[in-house]
Amino acid sequence: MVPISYYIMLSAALFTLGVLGVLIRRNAIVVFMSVELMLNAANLALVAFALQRGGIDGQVLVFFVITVAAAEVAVGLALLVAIFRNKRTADVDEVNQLHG
Amino acid sequence: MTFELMMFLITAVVALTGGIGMVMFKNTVHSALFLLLNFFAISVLFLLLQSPFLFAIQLTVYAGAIMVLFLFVVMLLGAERIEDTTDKLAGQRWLALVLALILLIQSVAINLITGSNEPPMQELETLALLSDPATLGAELFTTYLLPFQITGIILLVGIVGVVVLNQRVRTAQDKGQIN
Amino acid sequence: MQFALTDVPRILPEILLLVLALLVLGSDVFERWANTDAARTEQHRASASLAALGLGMILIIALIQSGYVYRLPDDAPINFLTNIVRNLQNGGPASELATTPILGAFATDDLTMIGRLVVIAAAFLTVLLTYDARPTANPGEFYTLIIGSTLGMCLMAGSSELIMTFLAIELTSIPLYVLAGYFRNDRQSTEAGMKYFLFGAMSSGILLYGMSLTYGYAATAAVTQGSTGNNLTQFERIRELVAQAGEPTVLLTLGMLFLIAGIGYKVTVVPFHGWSPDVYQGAPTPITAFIATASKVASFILLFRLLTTTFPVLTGAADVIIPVEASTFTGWTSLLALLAFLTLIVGNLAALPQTNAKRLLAYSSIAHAGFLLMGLVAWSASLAMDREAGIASLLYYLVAYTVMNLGVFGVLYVVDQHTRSDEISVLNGLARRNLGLAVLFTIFVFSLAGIPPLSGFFAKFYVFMAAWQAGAEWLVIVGLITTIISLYYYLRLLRAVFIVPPDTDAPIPTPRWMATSLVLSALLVIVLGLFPNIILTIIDNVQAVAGR
Repeated sequence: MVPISYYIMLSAALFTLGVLGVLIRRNAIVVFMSVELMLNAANLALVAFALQRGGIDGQVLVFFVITVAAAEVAVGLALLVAIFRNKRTADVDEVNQLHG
Repeated sequence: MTFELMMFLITAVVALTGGIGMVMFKNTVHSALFLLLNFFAISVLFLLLQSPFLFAIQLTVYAGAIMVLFLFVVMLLGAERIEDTTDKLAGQRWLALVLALILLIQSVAINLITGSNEPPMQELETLALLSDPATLGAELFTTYLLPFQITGIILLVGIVGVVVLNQRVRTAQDKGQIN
Repeated sequence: MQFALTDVPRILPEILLLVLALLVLGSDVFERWANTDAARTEQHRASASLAALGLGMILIIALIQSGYVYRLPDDAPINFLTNIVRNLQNGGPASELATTPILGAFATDDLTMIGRLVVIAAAFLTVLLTYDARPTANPGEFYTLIIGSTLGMCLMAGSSELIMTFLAIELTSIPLYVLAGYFRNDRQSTEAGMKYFLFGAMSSGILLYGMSLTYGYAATAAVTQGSTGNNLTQFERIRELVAQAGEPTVLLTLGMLFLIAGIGYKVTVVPFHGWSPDVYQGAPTPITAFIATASKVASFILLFRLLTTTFPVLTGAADVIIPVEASTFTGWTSLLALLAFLTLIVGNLAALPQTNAKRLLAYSSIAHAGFLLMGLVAWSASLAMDREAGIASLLYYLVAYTVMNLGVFGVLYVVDQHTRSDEISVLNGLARRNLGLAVLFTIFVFSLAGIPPLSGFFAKFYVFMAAWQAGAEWLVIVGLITTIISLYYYLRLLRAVFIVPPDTDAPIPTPRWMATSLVLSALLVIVLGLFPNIILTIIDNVQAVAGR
C-alpha cells in the first residue's frame, strides 16, 4: 500500500502550483485553470483521507465539488466571453478600467 | 518497490509535470493541454485510492466537459496568443514565490506529522464497500439529500446566468439599458 | 439519519424562496415580447413586483415562524389560523426540533433565523430599489438570480457541515458573479463580474483545501479513536473528535487558517480585500448594495458558527498588541484581532483620497468589516457573559450595518439614475436639488460614521465594549482612532451634499418605490439606534444556542 501521506504531499505540491499560477499568470483563462488545479489538489487530499478513514464522506464532498466546478466554469467562461466582446482581451492587466 | 507504489510514483510525476507545465507555458492552449494531463493523472490516482466512481466522473466531467469548454473558449476568443512577458507586478512575483515556499514547507510538515503516526490501513471488506459506487449513491440520497438538492439549484442558477450573459442582443435599443 | 417530514416546516423559508425563484423565472412567459420602451418597462415592473411581493411574504412568514414578534400561547383556541401558526412555529427556532440540525447539515436555531430575516429583508429592500429603475434586459432572470443568491445566503447562515457550507457559498456566489457583470454592454460591469469571479473562485479553492485538511484531521482522529460513521464533515462531530484527541495538531490549525482565509475573502478582510473596491464600483449599484450587505451578513454568521462550533480548542486570546512571536499566537481570536487591526487601518486610510462615491463606500465597508471582527474577537473572553456580549454585539452590528449601507447605496442609485455617474462630485448641492434625499443621505452617513443617536453609533459602542471586556483594549483604541479618521471622509460626502454648489439646480426626482425603500431603511436606522432593546431581546435568544 502507498502511504496516505504521499498523496497528501502530492496534493500540497499541486495546490502550491495552483496558487503560484493564480499569482504570477496574467491571462484570466490561465488564472482560472490554476484555480481548477487548486480544487483538484483539495479533491485528491479528500479522497486520500477518506480512504485512510474508511469512510465515504470525503468522496461525497469530491462528488459535489466536481458538480459545482462544472457550473462555476460555465459561468466564468460566459463572463470571459462577455468581457471579450467588449474589449477583445483576456489579459487581466488590460482589464483595468477600474484601476486598483 | 511494489507495483502500486511504482504506479503512484509514475502518476505523481505526470501530475506534477501537468501542473508545472500549465503554470510555465506561455501559450494558453499548451497550458490547457497540460492541465488536461494533470486531470488524467489525478483520475488515475483516484483509482489507486479505491474510488472508481470518482475516477469515472473525473474523466467525463473534468477531462471531458470542463477542458473541452476551456479549449473551446480559448479558440473562440483567440486568446492563445503569447502572453505579454513584461513584468508589471514584480512585487507580486516575489510574494508568490515566498508564499509557494511557505506552502511547500507546510506540505513537508504535514507529511512528517501524519507520516509518523499513520494509522493502520483499512480492512479489505471496508475497502470493498468504500469502492462500491452503490455506497456513494445510497449516501447521496439519504445523509446528503439536502446538499444534493442544492447542487440542482446551483446548476439551474448557473444555466440562467450563462444564458443571460451570452444571449444575443435583440434590438439595437437594448444597448442603452440601465445603469 | 433520514430526512423526516417534520423537517419540511423547518426549511420552509428556503423552500419558498426556491418556489419564488422558479415563479419569477417562469413569469416572463406570460409577458408580451418587449420591443418598445413602454413594454420593456412593463415587463421589468411585473417581474420586480412579483419578486418584491414574494420576498415580502416570505419575510412575514419567516417572522411568524421565528415567534419573535408574536408567540402563539399553548392554550390558544384551535382553528384554521392558529393551526397554521402553530405548525409554522413548530419548525421555528423555539421548538425542541431546532436543537439538532436537519441531517446534521442545516441548523434551524436562532442564529439561522436572524440571519435569514436580515438577508431576506435586504433582498426585499434591494428589489424595491430596482423597481423604478430603467428596465434591465431579461428582468425575470435578473430577479431569479437575486432570489437564488438570497437562498444561498440563508443556507450559509444555517449550514453546520462542511459540504453544505461549500455548496451554500457557491449558490450565493455564482448568481452574484453574474449579477455583478449583468450589464454586459457596460465595460465596468463586465470587468467587475470577471474580477469578482476570479477572486471568488480562488477563495473557494482555498476554502476547499482548508476543508480537506480539517477533514483529514478528523479522519485521522477518528481512526485512532476507533469511531465510525459517515459524519466527519459535521462541525459538531469534528469538535467532539478534536476534544477527545486532546492537543490540536498542525494539520487542524492549518485547516482552520485556510478556512478563515477562504471566508475572509467573502467578508473583505485585509489582506483579502483586493477585489472589493473594483467590484463595488463596477457592479450595478443595487447589486453593490446587496453584495456589500447581505452576503457579508451571511458570511459573518457562517464564520462565527464555524469557528465557535468546530474550533473551540483553538480559541486563543486577543490581549497581545501584535502577536509577532508564534508563542503569543494562540488561536483564531488572536488571528482575527490582527486581521481586524489591519482591516481598520487599511480600510479607513484608503478611503481618504477616493473621488468615486461607490469606491469610497467600498473602503468604508472594508473598515466596517474590521469593527465586525471585533465582535468575534470578544469570543476570547473567559466569562461566558462576555462572550455572549460579543456575539450580541456582532449581530446587532450586522443588522445596523445592513440597513445603513442599503440606504446609502440606495441614495447613490437614485442620483446615479438621474446623472449617470457615481463620482462624489455628482452629489454636489444635493440639498438644493432634492432636500428629502439629502436628509436621508445625511442620516445614513451619520450612522456609518457612528454619530449618536443613530444605530451605527450604538453598534460601534457595543462592539467596543465587548472587545474591551475580552481583553482586546489595544484593538478598541485602534478602533476609536480609526473612527475619528473615518469622520473626515464621511464629512467629505456631506460637504458635497450641503456646501459645494451644484452645476445645475435641476431637481432630482425620487421615484415612489425607491423612496419607500430608503425611508424604510432610514426608519430602521433611527429606531434601532434609539431603542436598541427591540432587537437586542431577539438577539439574546441566540446566546443559549451558539457554539457551546
